[in-house]
Amino acid sequence: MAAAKFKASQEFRAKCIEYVECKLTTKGGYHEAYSGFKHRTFPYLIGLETKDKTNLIVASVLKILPLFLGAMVPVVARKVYPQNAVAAAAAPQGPEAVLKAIASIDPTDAALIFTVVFFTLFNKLSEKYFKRSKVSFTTPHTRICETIESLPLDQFAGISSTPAASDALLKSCLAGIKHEISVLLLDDSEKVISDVVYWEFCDKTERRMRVRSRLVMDKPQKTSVEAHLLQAYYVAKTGKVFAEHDFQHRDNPFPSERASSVDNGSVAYKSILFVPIIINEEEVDSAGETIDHDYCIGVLCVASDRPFRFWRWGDQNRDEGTFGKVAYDHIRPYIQLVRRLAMHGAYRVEVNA
Amino acid sequence: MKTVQPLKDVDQLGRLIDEIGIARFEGRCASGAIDQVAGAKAMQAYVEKVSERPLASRLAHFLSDTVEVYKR
Repeated sequence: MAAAKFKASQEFRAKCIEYVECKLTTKGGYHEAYSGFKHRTFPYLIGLETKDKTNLIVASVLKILPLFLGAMVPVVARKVYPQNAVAAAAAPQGPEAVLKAIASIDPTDAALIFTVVFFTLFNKLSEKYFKRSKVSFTTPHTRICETIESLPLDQFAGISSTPAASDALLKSCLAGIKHEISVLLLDDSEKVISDVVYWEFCDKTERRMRVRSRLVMDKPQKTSVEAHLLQAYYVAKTGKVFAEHDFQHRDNPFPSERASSVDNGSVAYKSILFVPIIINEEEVDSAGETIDHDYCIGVLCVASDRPFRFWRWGDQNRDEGTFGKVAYDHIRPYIQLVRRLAMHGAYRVEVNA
Repeated sequence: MKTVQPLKDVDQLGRLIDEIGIARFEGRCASGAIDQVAGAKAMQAYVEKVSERPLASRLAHFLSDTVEVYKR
């Protein structure tokens, strides 16, 4: 019985490792593109995702219509003012002439109009495409990160005087992360992100993890959870930022019950952005070679109840996605703070090389 | 004991981010294994590079008059 349970547990682990590794190393392709377009891109483009209900069709018509009208002017003018003097004398005058000219647009005229519109649009697009923004190497984030890193460490990370104050500051960081990611999602109401959680390890055996801090404490929390049941654990082992687009999809092997709460209710969230907090130690071996050891001390989980929140068109062609990297860059100062606050006395797991 | 100099070459650091991921790279910057200023430059350039949008995305944003999120 115990052997069967152990075997099932090992199989589950293998399946979870394979799932996370596969998602990190392979491109999503057409399937991901379809799901992402359906859940994220299309609703955004037609204005369902933002406050202003700008409709794709209305916006497109308003942009393209003046172009067509402009392109029609020379064609209509040619018809209203014929070159032939006899025809000009017989031609109708005023608005009637314009309407008649529009009504008599033939396929050749239409082709001319479309050609003008095409080249005008093409010119605008190429301007956008080739316009490269200059990279600013010193951003406000860079300075903040440097400042945070230079804070002296004392017993409670050198920032606060008590563990309670340290925990309050950690929660404040989670709120900051929620705000930053909401800005990135263009979500002014901050309703898309449902929770931000910081998981850490309970001991050095890597077997159990616990919630150190979370924004929404709606249900009683377990003191600790078996690590191998958590997707955050497998992400911690990879040491990479990972975006889960649909946690409740049938391909996802992880249990759909809330691991952290006592009542084990079903999870509401579908998208999760996992951000491992990494520390590094260098060792110099006997041959004088430097060996880097990366350790994960915890994982930040940003959750949303909607699928494909942490996805953008184009991510299907990149093996690790892009959103997670851009989001990481946005929340870097908070990550630095979380690292400083949590690293003192934290248990750590070595990241798989 | 050998004194280890922090990595400074920005191009080399860009390749390192590709290899180990942005979170581990940041961890190494924080520990001093990578020069902080060079690390920040490399990360900035890397994020700029990966956040470039495909033509279809640019076209859709242009037509729908919506904001390109990464450029906000």
